[in-house]
Amino acid sequence: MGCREMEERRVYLTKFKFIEDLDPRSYLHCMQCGFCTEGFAMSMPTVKTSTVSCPLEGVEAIPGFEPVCPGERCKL
Amino acid sequence: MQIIRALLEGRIEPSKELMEDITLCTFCGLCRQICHNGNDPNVSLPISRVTDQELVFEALRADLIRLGIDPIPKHQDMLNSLRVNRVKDAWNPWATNPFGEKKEDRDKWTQHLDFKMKDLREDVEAEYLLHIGCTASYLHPDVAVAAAKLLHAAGVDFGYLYSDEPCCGWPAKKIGDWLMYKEEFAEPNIELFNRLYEEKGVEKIVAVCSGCTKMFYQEYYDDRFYSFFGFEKLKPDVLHLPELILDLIEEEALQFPENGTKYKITYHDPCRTGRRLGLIETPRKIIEKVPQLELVEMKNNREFSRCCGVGGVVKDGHPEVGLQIGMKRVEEAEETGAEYLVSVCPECKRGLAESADAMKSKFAEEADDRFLKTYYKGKVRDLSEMLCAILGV
Repeated sequence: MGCREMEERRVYLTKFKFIEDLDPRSYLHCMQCGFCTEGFAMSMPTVKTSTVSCPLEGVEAIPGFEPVCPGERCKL
Repeated sequence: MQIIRALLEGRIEPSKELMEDITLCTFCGLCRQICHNGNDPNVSLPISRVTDQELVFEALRADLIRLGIDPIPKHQDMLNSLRVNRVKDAWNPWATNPFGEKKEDRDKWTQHLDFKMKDLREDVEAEYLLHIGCTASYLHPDVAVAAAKLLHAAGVDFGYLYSDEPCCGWPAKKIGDWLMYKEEFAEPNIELFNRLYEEKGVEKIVAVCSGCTKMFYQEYYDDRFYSFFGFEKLKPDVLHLPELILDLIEEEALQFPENGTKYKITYHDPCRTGRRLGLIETPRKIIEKVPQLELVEMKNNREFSRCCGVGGVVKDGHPEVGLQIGMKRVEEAEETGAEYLVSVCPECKRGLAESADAMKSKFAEEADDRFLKTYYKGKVRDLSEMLCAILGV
């Protein structure tokens, strides 16, 4: 689902009052490029344990969530 | 941000596991910095220049609590601590702290001063309110002592609220209990500070902690959440301690004549002082103006500084993760060959000092005898402590 389409279908957001209160540009314009994982990894080189180096691995415990890997652009 | 997108698109549901994971974010803002700058010239990121990951993660924590997901146990302990020790007949019954400490111990550090600060609960007036904050008051009081000594040495007209000083509400806001933050911290604090402005002539609040400064200066004003918060305007101006110190040096109220002392230091930019408040050069200008200090920069500095591990209430929620994040920063500091690791926030001092101790870093060694060592003996120091050591106050 693209950004514009999401912006038009804000019905998805009704559950999240505080996120909805934000300027939608704060979240709808994320292109999932993965650059921020570099920042995340720089500050958090060890998420939970030293065996986990990728933040996306850290969220695998969330039921049903399939993170998008940025592939070659990932700086980890 | 992928987590947020997955939630909004209905691919995942709010859950206890999700709360556990998002409490690992330190709100350091480095992801946002990287996103804004797009280090790779081959990748164009024009739209993401308006993405604010920290804000969204904060809102997500608050939404999860609102939807009935409990905070993680250690964060719940902090919220409980913020609710205890209220005394109905006190001047400020809201003066609690997140560390489970007693309200009456908040001003215990003042016993190390050889002068009396104005007590703004009494019939006095002052231009500045010195706001120490919970971390410096209870965990690293040597920073509080240094701040008061510098203002006193410079002849600043300031007062203090002693044991009635309030918590800024940062832990409640960042953990995600926004109703508590609004009703028990931000609103009463704004009322308290405006009362000091009207009745005691307090024109400026000078905050020692970068977290308190950010709360007073940015978040009490923040209209991005206006529909929920809707705060009154805070009347006094807000300054972070380094801003006032730089002014005092430039006005020559604080002078540092050559005295044979020399400290080789490296400077850690607190995430909130640097990336959020934009005070990146202010501490460096202070260092530049003090001939006894020689600065060696770390590899990641200024807006690309790493977190000390305390941000986002991570150190309190996940102590081991906070410790490891701080260790990475201490390693960087060690690579510079500096003798002292210096910052301008008691929370960073806490994070870096604990990490330095845990890894037996050279910064855990005892500082020289010019430093106050009642509470902490090592070489992770606040810039205000360095200045006091040089001045001999």
